[in-house]
Amino acid sequence: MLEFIVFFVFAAIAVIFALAVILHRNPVVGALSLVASFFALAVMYVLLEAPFLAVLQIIVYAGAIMVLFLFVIMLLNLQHAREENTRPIQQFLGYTGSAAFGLGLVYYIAKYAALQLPNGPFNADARAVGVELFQAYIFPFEMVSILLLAAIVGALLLSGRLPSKVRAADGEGAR
Amino acid sequence: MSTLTKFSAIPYTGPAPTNRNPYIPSDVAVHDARGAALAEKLQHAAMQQETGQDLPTFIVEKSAIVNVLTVLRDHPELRFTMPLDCWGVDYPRREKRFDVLYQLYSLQNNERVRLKVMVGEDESIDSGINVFKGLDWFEREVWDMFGIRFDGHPNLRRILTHEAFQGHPLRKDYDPAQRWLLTEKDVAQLTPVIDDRFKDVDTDFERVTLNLGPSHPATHGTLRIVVTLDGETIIGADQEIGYLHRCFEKMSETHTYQQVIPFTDRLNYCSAIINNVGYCLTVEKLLGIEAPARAQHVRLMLSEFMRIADHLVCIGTNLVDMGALTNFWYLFQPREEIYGLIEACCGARLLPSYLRIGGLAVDVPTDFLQNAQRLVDMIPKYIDDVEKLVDRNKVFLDRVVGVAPISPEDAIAYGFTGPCLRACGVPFDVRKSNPYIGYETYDFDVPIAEGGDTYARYLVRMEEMRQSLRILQQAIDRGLPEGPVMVDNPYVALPPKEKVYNEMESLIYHFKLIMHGIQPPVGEAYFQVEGGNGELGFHVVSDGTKNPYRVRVRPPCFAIYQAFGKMITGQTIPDAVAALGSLNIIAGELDH
Amino acid sequence: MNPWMLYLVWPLIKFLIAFVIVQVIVAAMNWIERRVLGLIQARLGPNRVGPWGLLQIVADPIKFLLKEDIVPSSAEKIAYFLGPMLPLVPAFIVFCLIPFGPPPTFAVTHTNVGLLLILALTSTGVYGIILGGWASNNKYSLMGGLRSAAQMVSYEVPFGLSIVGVLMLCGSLDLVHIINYQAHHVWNVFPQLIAAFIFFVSMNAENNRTPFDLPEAESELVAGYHTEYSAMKFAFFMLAEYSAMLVNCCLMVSLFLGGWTLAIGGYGLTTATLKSMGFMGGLLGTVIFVVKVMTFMMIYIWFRATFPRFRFDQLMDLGWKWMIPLALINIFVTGIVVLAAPEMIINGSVVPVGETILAVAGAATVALTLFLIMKPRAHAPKVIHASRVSEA
Repeated sequence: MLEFIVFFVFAAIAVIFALAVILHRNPVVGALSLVASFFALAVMYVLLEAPFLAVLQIIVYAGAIMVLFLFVIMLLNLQHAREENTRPIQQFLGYTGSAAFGLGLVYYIAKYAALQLPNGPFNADARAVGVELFQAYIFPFEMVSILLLAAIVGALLLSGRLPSKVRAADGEGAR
Repeated sequence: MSTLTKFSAIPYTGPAPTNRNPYIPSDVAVHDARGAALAEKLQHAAMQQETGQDLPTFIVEKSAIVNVLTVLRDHPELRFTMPLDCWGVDYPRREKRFDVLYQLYSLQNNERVRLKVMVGEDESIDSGINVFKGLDWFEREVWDMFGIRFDGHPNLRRILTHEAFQGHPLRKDYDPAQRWLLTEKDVAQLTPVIDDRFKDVDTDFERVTLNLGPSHPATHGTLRIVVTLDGETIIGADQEIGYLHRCFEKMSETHTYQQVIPFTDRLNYCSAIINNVGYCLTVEKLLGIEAPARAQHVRLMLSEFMRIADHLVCIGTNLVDMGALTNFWYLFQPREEIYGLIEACCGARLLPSYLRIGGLAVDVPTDFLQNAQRLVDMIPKYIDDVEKLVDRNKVFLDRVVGVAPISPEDAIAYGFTGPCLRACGVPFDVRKSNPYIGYETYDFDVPIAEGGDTYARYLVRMEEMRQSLRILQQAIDRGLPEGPVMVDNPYVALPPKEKVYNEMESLIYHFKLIMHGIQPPVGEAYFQVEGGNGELGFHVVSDGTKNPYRVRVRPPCFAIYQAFGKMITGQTIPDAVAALGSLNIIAGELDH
Repeated sequence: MNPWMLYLVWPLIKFLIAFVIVQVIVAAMNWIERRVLGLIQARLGPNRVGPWGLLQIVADPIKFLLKEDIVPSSAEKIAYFLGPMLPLVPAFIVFCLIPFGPPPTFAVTHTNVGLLLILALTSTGVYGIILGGWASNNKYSLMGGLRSAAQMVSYEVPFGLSIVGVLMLCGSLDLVHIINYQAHHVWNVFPQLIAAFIFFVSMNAENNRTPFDLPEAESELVAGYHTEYSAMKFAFFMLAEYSAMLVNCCLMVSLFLGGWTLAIGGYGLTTATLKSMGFMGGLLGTVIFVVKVMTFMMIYIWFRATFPRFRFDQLMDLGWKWMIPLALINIFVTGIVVLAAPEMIINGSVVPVGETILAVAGAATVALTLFLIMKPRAHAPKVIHASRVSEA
C-alpha cells in the first residue's frame, strides 16, 4: 500500500518535471526540472530494491552531469536569449513525431517488458554490480572506456587553443 | 611672576621680515653655476636660464618643449630620464598667464632640472607624452586644473574633477563657490583599449567588461578600474581616479601657511607626519630658516616610524587581499603602538598635524625615547612572524612571484619612485640622493630587488622596515638634543603665553602672527622628502602675503597608478588585486 | 516491534535529537571559530554578549531573523528563494546516515551503501550555490557561483577517488563496517596516508574554505555567490556551509580515524567493548567521535588563519594535475598490495603486512612532497642592498 502511494507520487513528480524540461522556455528552469526528475527516478530505484543504483543515479546525473549543464548554461548566459519562432511545419513534425515515438514505446514496453519480470530476487548491490560488470560484461565495459577516452581527446583537441596560424591554415581562423 | 625670569627680555635682533623682497635660496650660487654649465653643454636656442632659483631652471619656448625634453632625456652626459612632475601656476596679470613647469631627474648624475614654459590663455602646448610616458596623467591634471590644452595627448580628459564640471578650478579667476552636479548620464563610460598582444587572439570566450570600484573591497579607497576580460585574463584595463578629490591645492591658496598643515595630513593618511615634514621643510626653505636640532631629530624619528606604519598597512592589506587574514592583525598591532607613540606626543593618532613651520607644535613627552625604544624592540618580532608565515609559503609565492611586473625602464619613464621603483632594481631614495634633516649622518641601506613584481615589492617593503628600525636605533642611541622645539623667530613662531601676557613686544608679535600669518619672501621653492610611496614633493609659490600663492604637491601614487592598467594587462583579476595592494595606492594622496 | 515504530517514529526521534545537537554545534562553531581566530590573530573575538561572549550564539540568529530581507528587483525570484534552501536539505539528511556512536542506538539509520549515499547527497549541495549566484543577477555573484560549481565538481573527483583505497582495504561501503574494521586492524590514516591527505585537501575545497575560498573571495568578488543575500537567507548559506564542514569532518573521522572507537588490532575501546558497557559505553563512543570531529574543525580554523588564497587556475591545477593523479596512483598501489600481500599470521597474531607496506610508502611520499614544496625556488628575487644611490 505504502509502496503504491510512494510510487504514484514520485512517478507523477518525474513526469511533471520531465514535461517541464521540454516545455519551459528558461533553460535554467529546464535543467533544474531535469534534476528534480532524476531525484524522482532515484526513488523508483529504491522501490525496486536497488539502492545502489539509486545512489549512483544521484551521484552521476544529479551531482555531476547536471551541474556541468547548468554551468554551461550560465557561462553562456542563455537565460536572456530569445528563442526564434519555429515554423508551423517544424512544430507539426515535432509534435507528431514525438507522439508516435511515445506511443510506440508504450506499446512495446507493455507488450514485452512488463510481461517478462526477472525471475528470482533482484540483486543490485555494489558487489553484484561489480562482479557482473567485470566478469560478464568486461568487454563492453572496456569498449565504453575507450570510447570515452576518444571523446575526451576529441574534446581537448576542439577546445584547446591552437596557435592562430594553425587555425588559419584550417580555414576557420578567419572569423 | 617668577616664570618671567625664564625668558629673556632682550628684543629679537634677527633678520627683519623680508616679505617684499625676492626669495634667494641659500645655495643659489651652486644651482646657478650648474644651470650655466648645463646651458653651456646643451647650447639649445630655446632654453634660457633663469637664475636665482633653488634648482637649475630654464625658461623654454613653448614650441620647443618636446624637443627640449627629448634632448634632456637623450643627452649622454645628462640623461634626465625620470619625469618627476609637471604642473602649472597661474599669473593672471601676466601677458602669458600660465607657467607650465616640468621637473626632471637624472639618475646618472643625481641632479634635477626644472623647465618653465609660459603659455597664454587660449594657447595650447605640445604634449610630452611620447618622450615620457609618465607625463600622461600630469598633463591631464594641468588641463583639468588650468585648461591648458596639450596637443597630441591621446586622452585629454578631466582627471580630478568630474565630467560635468565647468571651468578650471586652479585658475585664479575661478569662483570656488560654484557647484557642479554630476548626474548618472554624464558619468564617463570607460572602454579599455585592448592591448596589442591580445588584439588578434582567437578566443572562445565572450569578452566581458567588468567594473572594479569605485567602492570595491579590493580598492582600499575610492578608485575605479575597468577591465576587459577574456575568460579570466585581463586584455585591457583603464583606471579612473578623482573620487576622493578634496581640492587640497585650491584650499591651500585661501589658508595661511600654518593652516595648510592639517590638509597635508590627509594626503597620504597612512604616513601623515611625512607629509607634514615635506610641507614644513618646503616653507622653511622659502623662509630661509631651519628648525632647531631637537625638532629635526623628532621629525626624523617620527618620519621613520610613519614609514614603518605605512609599509605595515600596505603589506597587511595586500596579504588580506590574498586571503592571508592573520598577517593583517600581526602587522596592525605594531601600527597601533606607533600611533600610540604619536598620540603621546600630540594627542592625535591618524592625522596628527604635529609639525609646525619652524618646529613642532609641542615638545615630546619625557618618556618619548623609552617608548620609542620599546617599539623598536617590539616591531621586529611582528615582522618576523609575518615573514615566517608567508615568505616561503607556496600558496603565497604562487600568487606573487612574477605577478604584475614592470621593467626598470618603464618604471623610470612612468615616474615611479619609492619602494615600487626600488623593487625594479633602481636604487633611488630621496634620503640618499638629497638627504634632509640629517639623513646623511645615519648609516642605512637602500634595499632593492630584481623583477619589479609583486613579490619584489613585498620584499623591498619588508627590508625597508628593518632599515628604518636601524635608523631609529641610531637616533635613539644619539639621544634627543636639548633645546627648544620651535625656532626663535617671532615672525614664524608664536611667543610663549607668559611672554604674550607680560611683554608688549611679544604681544605685538603674537597679534601680528595671528592676524597676518607667516609671510615668506616672494619666490618659489621646491622640496622633496621620501614618503611611504616615494618622492613626495611640495612646490610653494609665495607672493609675500600670508596665504600661499600656489601649493603644488607631487603625490608619488599618482605617477605609479597611471601605469597600473599596463601592469595588469595579461594577468587575471586576482593578480590585479594582489598587484594593486602591493603598489600601496592611497586615494587621499592620489586625488589630493 | 511495530514496523511503523521501527522505521518511522524511532528514527525520526533520533534524527531530531541529532539535528538539534548538530545545529547547536554549528551555531557554536561560529562562536568557536571567531574566538579561536581571535586567539591566533592576537585579538579578542566576540566577548561582549554574555560570559566570554557565549550568548553570541543566540544573538547572531536573532539578528539574522530581525534584519530586513532584501530581494534585488532584478533577481530571478523563484531561484533566488530556492538558492539558500537547496544546500540545507542534503546537509541535514546526511546526518541521518552518519553513525555517531555504536549502532543501532547512536545512529539514525543504517544502510549498506551509506557512504555512497552521503557522497550523493553532499554532491547536490552545489545547486544552491549555483542558483544563488545566478539568480542574484549580479556579475560578481555569477562569477562566484560559477567558480564554486567548477571547484566543487573538480574536487569531487579526488574526494571520491581518495575513498576508494579505504573501500578496497575494508571491503564495504558501510560506515559501521569500516569503523569496526579499523578498530580491529589499524586506523586507515596510516595505510592510506596519501588518501587521507587528498581527502582532507578536497574536503577543504568542497567546503570553500581557505585556502580554497575563491567563490567568496572578498577582495575579488565582493562576497561571491551570496553578495546579494541578506538576513535569514544569508544565514541559511552559512548554516549549510558549516553543516557541510561538520559532515566532512565526520566522514574524515569515520573513514580514516576509527570513528567512535579507540582501538588498534582489536585492543582498546572497540565497538564490542563499548557495547558491553551498555548505554554509557555508547555515550562514551559518541564523545570520542565528537572530540575527533572537533579536532578537525579546529584544523579548518587553523588553516583559515594561516593560508593565503589560491588563484583560480592554480586551484584547478592542484585539483586536476596533482590530486587526481595522486589518488589514482594510490588506488593502483593499494590494489596491488591488497592482492599481493595478504595478512600473515605469525605466532597466532595477525600481522598486517600489506598495510605496513602502504604506511611506509605513504609516509615516504608525503615526506618527499613536503621536501619538494619547501625547497627554495631558484628564480625568486632577492633583496640586494645598495648603499650608493646611483652610478656616478
